[in-house]
Amino acid sequence: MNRAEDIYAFLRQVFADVFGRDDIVLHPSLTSQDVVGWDSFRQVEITLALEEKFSIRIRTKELNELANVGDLVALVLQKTAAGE
Amino acid sequence: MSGQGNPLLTPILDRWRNTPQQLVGIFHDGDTWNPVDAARFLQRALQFSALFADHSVAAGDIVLIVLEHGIDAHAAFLGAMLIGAVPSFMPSPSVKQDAGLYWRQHREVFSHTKPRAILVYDALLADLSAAAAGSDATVIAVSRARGAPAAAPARLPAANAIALLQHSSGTTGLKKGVALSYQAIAAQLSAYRDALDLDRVPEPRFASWLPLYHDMGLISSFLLPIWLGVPILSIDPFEWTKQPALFFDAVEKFAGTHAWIPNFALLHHVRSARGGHRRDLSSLSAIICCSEPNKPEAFDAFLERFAEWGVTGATLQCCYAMAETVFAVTQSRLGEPVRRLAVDREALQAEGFATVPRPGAQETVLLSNGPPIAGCEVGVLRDGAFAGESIVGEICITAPYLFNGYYHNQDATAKAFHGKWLRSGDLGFVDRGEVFIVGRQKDVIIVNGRNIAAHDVEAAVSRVPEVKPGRAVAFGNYLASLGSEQLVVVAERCGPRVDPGAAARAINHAVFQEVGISCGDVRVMDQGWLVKTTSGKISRSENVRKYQECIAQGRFD
Repeated sequence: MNRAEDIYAFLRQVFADVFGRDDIVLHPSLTSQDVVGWDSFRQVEITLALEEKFSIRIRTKELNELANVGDLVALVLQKTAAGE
Repeated sequence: MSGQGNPLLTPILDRWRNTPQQLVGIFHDGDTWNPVDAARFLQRALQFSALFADHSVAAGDIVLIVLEHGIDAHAAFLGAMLIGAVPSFMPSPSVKQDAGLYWRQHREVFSHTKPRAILVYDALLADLSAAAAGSDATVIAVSRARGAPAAAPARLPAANAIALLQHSSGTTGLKKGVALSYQAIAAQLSAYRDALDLDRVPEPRFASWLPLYHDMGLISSFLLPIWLGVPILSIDPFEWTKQPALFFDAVEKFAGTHAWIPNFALLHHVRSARGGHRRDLSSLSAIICCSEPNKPEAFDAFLERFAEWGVTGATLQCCYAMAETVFAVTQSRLGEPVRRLAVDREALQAEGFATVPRPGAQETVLLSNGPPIAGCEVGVLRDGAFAGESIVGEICITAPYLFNGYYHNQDATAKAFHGKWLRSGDLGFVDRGEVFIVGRQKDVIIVNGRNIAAHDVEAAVSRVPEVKPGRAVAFGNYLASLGSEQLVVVAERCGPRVDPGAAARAINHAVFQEVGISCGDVRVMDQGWLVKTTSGKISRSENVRKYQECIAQGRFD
């Protein structure tokens, strides 16, 4: 069973890889506009990394409904719990 | 309906009338692929014709179309043309962009074009109706066309009538409606068809995720294929961004043969492709890269990753295009790898001369965009005179398919020409009759194929309270890892109490709201950092140089 802390820990690595920076502080209310360079193409890289790591599938419609990192983590938790 | 001799519409309608079962396109819709034949497509287009006519749209009236990608967007555009109206695609607001602000940015378009109707997807109806209040435009929800009767056949517009307005992707400062006549479009399509050498391909099918408001998507992946009778494999650009593999799905499932994409998309595919499932892309005859500078390293990365899927060195091609020439100016020779030219970097940058690298000198490898297509003539303007081969200058074009001008904007039209020559604003040279692009003299940033006016970004940044008004510069910085320019902003903060991190976030937010894309890099500096010209203006070129030096020397760290 994955916990939110595990997902945040993994996301920290992903953000460091995608943005080439290790100073991004992840927190639930962080949005794409808070991180310079976080556009829809970087979002794809983040999403693909999550899908591969947690063996889940995130749909475009679900991505569009996410407001922040907290929503993203909640979605991953929900999908891993449901075994999607 | 036909017989009026419209050079674009008559061939399309004649073909569809003779073969109503002909496949017009296969449209990706949710999780399914939806094939649409000519009879169904034309019926849908004529429903839109009737809808527009019911709202008093007449020949010559402007119709703006703001729809999600799909059959309706394509059919509505054609439906407007069939009654002689002048359609123009406009981009939809991004899901994360403030709709009110988005429409305020388009007031200039409203005031210039004076649309008679604006067709929108239903969710946008309230916002746009409010934004358009007080204008003569009628805002129509797309759902009104469902179940509507099809219009009766009407007299087609004359060959010299304005067919459409092309609002090239871009920001407020760039949204000039490029007015194109039917005869110009048909002349371009005819010349470009010959350059594509389609006889080599038994059953061409064009795969596309390009937005229709961009000339590359509108011409190469909509008007050209329906004029040729080539099926379109069509994907919503937002869907493609998030699921780039959809493009491979389209090619593999339906034997796609051609696609037009910007350079950055090559690397988006490379980065997002996952191992495991092997694809068969061997049906692909040509992926034609266009709309931003094409780079050898992006070509190489794509070939290295996808050679085992059937992509060859001859698959990747280059085209140089402008909305003002309808589309293509040049096209590399299909069926063979694009020619690469190594030139002396210092001679190119310092002297504006493309020459063989001197011994020990650094070289720059450029991709050829090929020779001009039939009817097109390219000149290189330098210091007020046309230069010979290998000399860098502004690329100028003359052709029988030039635009009619910017719609209701004579000043901008006049500035676009040097005598009979259309000025591109791009810097390049000609070598052995082939065109090479090396830079830009206009203040335009091209991010993932999208044109952004630097001064629009700077104006938005100057409104951020943490920034000293007028003390900001925006420019593009090419990143090989992305295959595109990233949008860079350097701004001076109002004072030492302003937190640079918070100011950078505010700038990023303001820029996103203004132009709909995020910054790639934002640097908030102390007052006095930005270099000024002798006349006191902020020098973009000097600040680009200073930024790049700081990056190279790690002075921002």
